[in-house]
Amino acid sequence: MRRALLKNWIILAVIAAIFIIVIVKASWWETVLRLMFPGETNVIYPRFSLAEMVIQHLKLVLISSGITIIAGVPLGIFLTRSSMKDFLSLSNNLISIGQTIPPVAVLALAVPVFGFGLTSTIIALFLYGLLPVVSNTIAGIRAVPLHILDASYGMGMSRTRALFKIEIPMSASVIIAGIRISVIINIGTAMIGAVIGAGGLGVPIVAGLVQDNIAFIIQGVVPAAVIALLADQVFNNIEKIFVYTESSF
Amino acid sequence: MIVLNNITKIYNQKTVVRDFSLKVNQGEVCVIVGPSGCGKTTTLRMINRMVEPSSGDIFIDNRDIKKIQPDKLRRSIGYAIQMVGLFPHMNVFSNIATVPELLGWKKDRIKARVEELLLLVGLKPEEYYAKYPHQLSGGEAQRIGVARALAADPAILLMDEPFGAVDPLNRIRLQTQFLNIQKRLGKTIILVTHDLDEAIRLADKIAIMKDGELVQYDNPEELLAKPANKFVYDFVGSDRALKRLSRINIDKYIRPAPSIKTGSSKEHAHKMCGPCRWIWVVDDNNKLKGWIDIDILSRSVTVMDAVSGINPSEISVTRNSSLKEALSIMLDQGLKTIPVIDDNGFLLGEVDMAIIENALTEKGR
Repeated sequence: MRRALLKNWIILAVIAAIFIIVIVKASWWETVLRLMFPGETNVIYPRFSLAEMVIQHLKLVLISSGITIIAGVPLGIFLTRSSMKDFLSLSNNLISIGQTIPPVAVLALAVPVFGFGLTSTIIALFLYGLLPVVSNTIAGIRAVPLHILDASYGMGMSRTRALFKIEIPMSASVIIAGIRISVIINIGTAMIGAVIGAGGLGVPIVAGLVQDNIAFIIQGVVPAAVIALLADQVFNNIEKIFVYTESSF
Repeated sequence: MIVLNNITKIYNQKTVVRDFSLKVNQGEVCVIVGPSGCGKTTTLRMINRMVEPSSGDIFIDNRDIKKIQPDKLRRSIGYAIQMVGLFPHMNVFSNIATVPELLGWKKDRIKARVEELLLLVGLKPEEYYAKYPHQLSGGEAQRIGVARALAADPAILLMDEPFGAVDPLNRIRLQTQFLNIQKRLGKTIILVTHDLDEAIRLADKIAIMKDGELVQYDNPEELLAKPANKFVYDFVGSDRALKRLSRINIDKYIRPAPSIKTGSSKEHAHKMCGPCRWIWVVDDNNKLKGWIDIDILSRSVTVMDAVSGINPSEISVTRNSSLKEALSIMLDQGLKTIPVIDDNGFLLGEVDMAIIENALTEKGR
């Protein structure tokens, strides 16, 4: 099983390397896009290079997802503690409501306070990505069978030790699945950063829509899709490390 | 020694355990048995403070357990549950090492201890160290659970239906192993079960519970011979005579059995048998081969020809058997007398129906 996992990582690394090369080679894009859209005068988005926009996009995703994970996982764990039992469903509902507010609306609210640019975008992305992380953390921890907890307390583990030695490791795959969903949503949603000047792969898409230039849109959509697929595979591989089949006992 | 003094537990105004008192001596196996919902598990869990009693006191070796910090108390008491509760993300080694690690033992000491425990429960250490719980059979998981409970060599063991989730065949095997281990270790054990046969097999003392109250506390023989009231009478069932037989070891009741060697002459056989109608046959090493019927012998040429062709292991019992097993074989095979052999198949003697009847009346009143 470990060997199969290593193989997965190697394949992933190779695909990522190819992706980076393709992003850097602007001439390749020009050749292909010219063939596809012979009528267009400009096929390459002129203001930023593709590599720059990918980096901006990754920066948005990494910062906002990072904050989501750092805040979301502990929040989820905190809500599963026995002292929080009464608040669990209430807070679950609040976080679900957070998910229903579209990120554009959050942007509209954030811009007057934090201004245009990175901060407002990251706040919108953070709030929008919180739900899958928190709810999966809660679900994962609550799925730890009671008799297993009973055994760990019965052997003299403190609550804290049981949390770190039993509950978190046993729910790790579910928690990571939540992080995966959150990050992938985030990669798509980060496009809105372009609207308030935070850059990213949304920039050529907005320009393409305004100028009715499909070649520009493709330069935003394709790399974002590939990044999302790669991220999906990365988390998939991490998840697999933590999958334990529970015995029938 | 464990002492429970007037323990009462009330959950949401419902009394689950009422005024329960019990004393378990050092090295004794006390089995708490009763129908489901009678409060036996709650009682057990109060001893390691997984549940706090509403009133009453519990003492372990004269120390009030309320004065011992729960985590510390629990590390000094072995705990095995029906669901075993092996940690699925840890291998067998780490599972067994849980309590020693909590106690901060050195690495070499833990390793030596885990190895010792795996051998104790009859599993090969090298083969099982690295296995994960999902790779174990039910019986293996159960044994690892017991090994884990014994890890820090606690003087007291609490077991909640430890053999409940195993198939009947494996259950008997595990119970036998449990008794062998207990014979060597002499722990003070409180075990909870709803299975009276299991209680009778394992217990030095049985506590019967009903609706949160202790109905009778006695050794199994007394309990079966003198049920305290109608409930116990019904609970032990109409086959209590058979259950009593299962508590009586055959060892004391073996009487010498006449036998002849396979190479003996017909005349010798007739002489050895005397007035009886048949006689056991053994080989030169005293290993049981079968029996011969004197009538058949008269009609055969040699002793060997007359030996009945039945497999000796089907008609014999070993010296570790109970009288119940002997009786069962007698009824099954339609025999009034059966041979007792040792583990190598050597003939030790025999028991008959009359011996079993006598044993029952002698142990009875």
